[in-house]
Amino acid sequence: MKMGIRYMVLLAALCGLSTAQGFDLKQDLKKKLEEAKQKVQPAETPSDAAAPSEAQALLADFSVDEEIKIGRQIAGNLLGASPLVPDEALQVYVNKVGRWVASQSERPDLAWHFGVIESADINAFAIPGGYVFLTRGLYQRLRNEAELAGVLAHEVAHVTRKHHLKILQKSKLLDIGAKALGRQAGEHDRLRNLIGSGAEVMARSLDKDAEYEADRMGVVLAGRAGYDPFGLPVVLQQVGQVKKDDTAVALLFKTHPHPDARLGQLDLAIGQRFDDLSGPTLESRLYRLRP
Amino acid sequence: MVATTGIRGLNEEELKSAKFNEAELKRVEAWSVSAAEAQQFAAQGKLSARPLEYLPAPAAQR
Repeated sequence: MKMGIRYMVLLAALCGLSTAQGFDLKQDLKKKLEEAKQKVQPAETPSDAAAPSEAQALLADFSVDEEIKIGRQIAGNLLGASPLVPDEALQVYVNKVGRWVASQSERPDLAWHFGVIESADINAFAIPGGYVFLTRGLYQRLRNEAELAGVLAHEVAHVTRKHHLKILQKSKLLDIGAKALGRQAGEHDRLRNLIGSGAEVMARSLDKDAEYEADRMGVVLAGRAGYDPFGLPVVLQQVGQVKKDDTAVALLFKTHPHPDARLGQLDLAIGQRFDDLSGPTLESRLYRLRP
Repeated sequence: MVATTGIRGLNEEELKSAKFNEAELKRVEAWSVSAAEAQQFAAQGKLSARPLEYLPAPAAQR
């Protein structure tokens, strides 16, 4: 089977891939900080003496507590759009697979939460703080537990690398001009101001290199967990066959590089490295959704 | 109009207008499992953790 995947992957690689772009967030943030300081300084009075340190605080990374608070708000909003599939056995099963995969990451002690949501779309979401969701539409396409592990591992990688949090960090800094709001508004308003409306941040695209990185990490995390590491590439291959104008993949294809491009990048990264690596797919243990 | 039945998609507009659902959030948090439970589950499937380095980005290999 792997030879088949490799062949498909090779074909995808021939489709011409764009070159990697830099993702130097810190530089960007520092530039924004300098701009912010220049805005703050002319108006500085003794009562505004804390302003530069406020700007400094904006540059600092979110604490884990802040990250979880932000994540809870986004997760709650996403669940407002699509509730959980009402099947406790399914949800507990997905949590066991997800938690085992997350245990292989750099953030094993985060309070990870996994869920399958009611949506016919094919998609999955990584939310800061360790909230990971996949849609019923995607879950129904999975054929074994290794594929589920691969999909969850990609999302775990986004959380581990704080990809979405970095997007929010950027908007936090961009919002410095409106810092008066931060003084007058309550925490709820500040949070809302930061994450935007609803779960809109989940409809934003990450840098494509962040997606490729999450794919590379995803196959490794699944492999570390003992699974056949090719679960994620198999799912990508299958999703890549869905017609581009199918509404089920509209958001996924809008926010991610096409699966063929992702497979091509993965193939380049894997090369011969996994040739001696195998593992169970646990097809018989995959929890079957009731239709 | 509030859609309450049927399984539908999840588009950008629906994400934007989504309203916080605390009850669902608490449900998903309640279904969380511990690392120890996950390890036990892995062992039942004969899965063992193994060391594996992250893959470098393809460009870095050139």
